[in-house]
Amino acid sequence: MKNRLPDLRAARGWSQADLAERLGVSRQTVNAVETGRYDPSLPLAFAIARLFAQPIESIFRPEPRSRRAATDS
Amino acid sequence: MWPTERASRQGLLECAVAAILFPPGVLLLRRAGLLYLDKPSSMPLFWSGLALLVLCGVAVFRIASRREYPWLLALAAVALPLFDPTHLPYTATRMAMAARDLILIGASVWFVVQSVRRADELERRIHFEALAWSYTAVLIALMIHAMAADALPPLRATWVASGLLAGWVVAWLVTSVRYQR
Repeated sequence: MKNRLPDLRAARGWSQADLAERLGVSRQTVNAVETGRYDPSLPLAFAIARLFAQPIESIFRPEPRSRRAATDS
Repeated sequence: MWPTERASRQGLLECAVAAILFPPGVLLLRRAGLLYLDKPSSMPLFWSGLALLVLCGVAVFRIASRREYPWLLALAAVALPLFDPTHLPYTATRMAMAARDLILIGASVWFVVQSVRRADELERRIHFEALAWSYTAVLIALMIHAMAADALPPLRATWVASGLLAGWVVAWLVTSVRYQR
């Protein structure tokens, strides 16, 4: 899952720790979401969308399906 | 903070100090007890062992006060193999010692469970993955031991528990770092 979290956060001048505090999660979680290593749960995704006042789909977007996955389906 | 907010480098250092001090402290006190405390020669052993355990206790208190429970799990993995239940007859003393151990273990388990419940979703996922790795590794080790039981020393339950905890902490560290940049 790709996301625009680093851009949105940078636009507000927040550090990862600032964003983590606003979302009630650890800085490690914000870092993992931003780098795409961890896909947030629906409640966390909604919290992020609410914080930035944007729809979820404008912040997160699924990565293109790989050829293997497309072949399997 | 490294590797997570739940565990700092300072906590790792204190954990290492406590892990180094705890075994000699226990062994010295045990040795002093074997020599009986009324003999003057055993008193230096007793005080040395007690001093080491007090230093270890200070380190544990500092870690616990910051709620860095993963380092406490690591310490428990070091301490468990040294756990030697009394072989006294079933007397009030033995029951009191058993109650003391149960209270200590219960309080530790409660502390860890509360800490994990307070963790956020990624931290819980990391623990879930770490526990899966730990249980699998210990299961494989137990099966290997079962197949070579004749050639290996008999297994103690505390070693298995220690292996589970050590595997949990190591897998937690690896998984935590994997989720970091």
